Amino acid sequence: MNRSTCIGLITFLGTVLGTGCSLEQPTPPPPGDSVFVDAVPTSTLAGYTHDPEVYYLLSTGCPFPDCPPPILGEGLPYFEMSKIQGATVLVFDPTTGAPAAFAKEPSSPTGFWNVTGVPARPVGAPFFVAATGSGSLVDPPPMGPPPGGPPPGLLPDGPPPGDGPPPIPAANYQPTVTLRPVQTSSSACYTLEALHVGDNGVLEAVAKYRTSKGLPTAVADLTNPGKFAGVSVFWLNEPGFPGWRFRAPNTTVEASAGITYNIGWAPPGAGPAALKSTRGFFVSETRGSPTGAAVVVIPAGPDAPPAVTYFVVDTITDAAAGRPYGYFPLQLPTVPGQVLAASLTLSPAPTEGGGGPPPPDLAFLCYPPAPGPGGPDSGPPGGPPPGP
Amino acid sequence: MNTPLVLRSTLCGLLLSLTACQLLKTEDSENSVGRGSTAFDPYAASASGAIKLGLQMFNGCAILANGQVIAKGAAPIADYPAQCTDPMAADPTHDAKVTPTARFELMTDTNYFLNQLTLMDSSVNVFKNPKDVSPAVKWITTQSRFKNLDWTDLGQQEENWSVNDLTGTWNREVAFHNARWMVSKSDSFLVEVLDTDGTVRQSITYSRGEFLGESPVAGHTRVAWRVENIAPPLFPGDTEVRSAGDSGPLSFPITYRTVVRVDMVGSTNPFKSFRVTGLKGDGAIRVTWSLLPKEPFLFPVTFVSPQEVPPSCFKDDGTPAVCGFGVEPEIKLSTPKNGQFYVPGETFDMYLNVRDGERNLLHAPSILPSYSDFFASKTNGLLYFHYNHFPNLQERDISSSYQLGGPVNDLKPWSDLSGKSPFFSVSNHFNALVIEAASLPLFPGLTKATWPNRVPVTLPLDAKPGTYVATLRANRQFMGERVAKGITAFFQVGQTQKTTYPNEIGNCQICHRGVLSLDNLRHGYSVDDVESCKLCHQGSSDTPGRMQVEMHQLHMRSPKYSADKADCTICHLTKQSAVRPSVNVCTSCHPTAHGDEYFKAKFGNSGTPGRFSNCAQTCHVDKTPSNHILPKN
Repeated sequence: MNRSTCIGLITFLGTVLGTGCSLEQPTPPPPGDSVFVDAVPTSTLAGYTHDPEVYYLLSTGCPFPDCPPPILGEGLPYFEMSKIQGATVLVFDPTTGAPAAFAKEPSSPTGFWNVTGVPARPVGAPFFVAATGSGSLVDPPPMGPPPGGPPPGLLPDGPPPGDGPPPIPAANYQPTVTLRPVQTSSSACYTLEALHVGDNGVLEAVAKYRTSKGLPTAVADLTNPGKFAGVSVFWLNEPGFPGWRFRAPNTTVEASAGITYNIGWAPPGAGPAALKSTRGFFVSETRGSPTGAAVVVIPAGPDAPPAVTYFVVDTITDAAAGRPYGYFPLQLPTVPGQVLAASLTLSPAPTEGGGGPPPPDLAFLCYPPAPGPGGPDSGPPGGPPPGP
Repeated sequence: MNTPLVLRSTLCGLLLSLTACQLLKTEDSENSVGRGSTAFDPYAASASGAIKLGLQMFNGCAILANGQVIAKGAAPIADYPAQCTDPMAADPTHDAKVTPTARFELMTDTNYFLNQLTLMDSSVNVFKNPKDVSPAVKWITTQSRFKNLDWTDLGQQEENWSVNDLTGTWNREVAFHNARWMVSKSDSFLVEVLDTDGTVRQSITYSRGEFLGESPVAGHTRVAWRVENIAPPLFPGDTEVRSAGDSGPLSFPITYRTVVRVDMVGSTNPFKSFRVTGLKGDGAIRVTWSLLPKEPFLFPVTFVSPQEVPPSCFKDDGTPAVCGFGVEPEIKLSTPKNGQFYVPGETFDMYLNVRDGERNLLHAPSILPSYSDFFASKTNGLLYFHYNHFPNLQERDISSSYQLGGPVNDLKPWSDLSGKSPFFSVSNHFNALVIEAASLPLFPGLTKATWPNRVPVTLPLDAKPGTYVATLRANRQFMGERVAKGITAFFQVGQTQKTTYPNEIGNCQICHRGVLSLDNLRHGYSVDDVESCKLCHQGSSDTPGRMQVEMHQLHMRSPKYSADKADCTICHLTKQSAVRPSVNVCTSCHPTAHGDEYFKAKFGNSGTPGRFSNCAQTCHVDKTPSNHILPKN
């Protein structure tokens, strides 16, 4: 996605979510003896790029000698190899319809990005991270702890060097908005995901499935505003600490409009060959998604709603396992021409009791306040994760 | 020249000028009677007479305060280990050893005095029988690095239970005392500076009595066996180790630790200094304890001339500057919207800077360094909290941290933690300058992230009007200097009329004056602000320590506290402040009081009677302690 396209997206979101102010530059506090200074507060947003399909392929196949748990942790291969280098990342403000700021540099060779000068906004509409669709998967790093990282004793052990994973087909990334609200209530909003959705994974699977059903569809059609009013990709994860990424199979998403496709995956040589995407994904006609991934498409037309409410559904009930998992309804605008992507950490089923020690200070994650009792309209889309 | 005459004349002149300036007046600008005048501190920065040297050793290897192990380099110390126990390991005894890489630099042509000597040996997850600690004692007295000390008369002192607010779990510690070396007052430490050839270039002897702080209550010298991260006991004498269950994302395993820690802090004689001149390259400091004359402790050092110090600090405009010694925290606040005071519910910003004694920033303007920088010793000495400094190193004071709260007139003890605090604070413990979670590899990219120095604060909607206080404490280790300093900044909420501290405790300056003023000890806060301590030391946890408990334990058990221990008027300025002790405070001096009657109360944080609850409110409302001297009003 080039900048003009991206700004178009932002303008659209701005129209939907509000109007307002302009981007202001940070002003350092002036020197002086007074305890008070005049400054325009800004926040720094930083994080990593992430291709959830690659993450799924690596964590499912586990092509490593020892299989570490699927955690978004430095030195762990699933995480390290699912980042994108050279990606253009920006932060946009839905209240202005304009970018709050662009990253000054493309994402690093190790997939990290940094945006400074985002206006501080403790309350009100949150910001969103977006990617223009440029960049490519990072070069496979050496396995084990990264050089120059935290000191010995603090790192989880990486797997020993081995043959490594098989090559993963490179993707042409689509302009992708990460549906994770960022409330700049902290001066530093860190470890944010900039999700990237490519053209040879779940979207290709949806296109092939629709074509097989007599609805000829190309991947490019899904981001063609003349054909589709929106396409949203959800990766649903088991409850836990925000850095954990255990996919939640047999979950899915139901939407107030559009069509939901549950996504399955099969290794080479298995599964419905004609329906499989280059990366092995296919549309599963099961009630829940075998992979925890679901795609919702909204055909274009006069009936296309400006916003859609998404409901996470868990098809499993197992009290011992804390299922059904849940998530509060997400009301999101339809955004033609872009992919909206979310990787959600679900909540366990409520239990009696609770308590325990207070959670650590995670203000740097910059989640908005939890929605109030009034339901989805009382809080911003996305919302905070469950307590750790 | 007649020296005594000159001296008398000088003293008289000084007294006159002090009187004229009202510097002897013990009533400060906040009208808080019982506080002190501005502390005398000639050792604050580069221009001072001497620099506070801190030496730390863990399991036979010299270490820095950031937990990194000091490499031998070309130091002339043949016996120094090539591999060392990792102070940052989850289990230092069993985890892989590390090759030391850190450097401990000393500046030449500079006067130093020994202000901290920490020597520690530990054994982790070896002695696991909670019902029999004799194997641990045997290791302490016959196998540890301190086995050749005189352990005669060693006895068990007490059993301490403490709770950790990070995990909600408890630690049980069996402490030992009374060994002859522990009560010795005549021993000393010979400090020798070795050049690159091993030649002794300077030597000086410090007597043990010249150090102020050695108490285990304050985290100094300690001999103990402990088991960590367990559930509290069910009945008196219960030694069963029970899992505390899921303690959240920062879950720590049950750990058994046996420790010998010799820690002496706070020189009472900083004039006894030594100067390193004309040395280059690697050398060493050799410390020989008179109680272990054949087993000197070796600290590799690298000598750096003042001209060789790189310009790694910053001027306010961001230009590089050569760092000086000292540490000076700085607090700025965003201007209130109405220009005068914040209102309840208002969000404003703290801007936190840390400078050296020459006003250079230790960090780039508005940006605080990352934890990767910290662990790599690239913060110009600025120290951060790290998770293993407390359990592994047992060091209490390393974090650079902030707090904010008020109104100051409500900074009073809070006994029933199930009730509402009488004052607002950002949290009920310290707030790390850079968030502690960034020290762990839990979140991608976080350890390498730098941090804005802006800290947003939102006042509660029911914030009481009055004067509030913001605090910032910075710790630093630079060129051998280990120093901490705390400052306060006051601001108004809801009104322009200022309010003052309750003025219920004080008088610290009766003893803590001169080089022993509170400015020079522990966190480095002024005696004027002792009532602000409650902002951090008031919660349900023992991790930061509950102030009124620790203050009684520290002073009442100290042989250096020479006042009448039954005379509450020494520190308590009002009667009301002296008649609300909790069961934990009472038992700190009277361990047998009430026997086990309130056993369960000691492990509950709320209710009355409770762990911190007010005995006067509960039962002793009409009967104050008859053997204590209380303030009249």
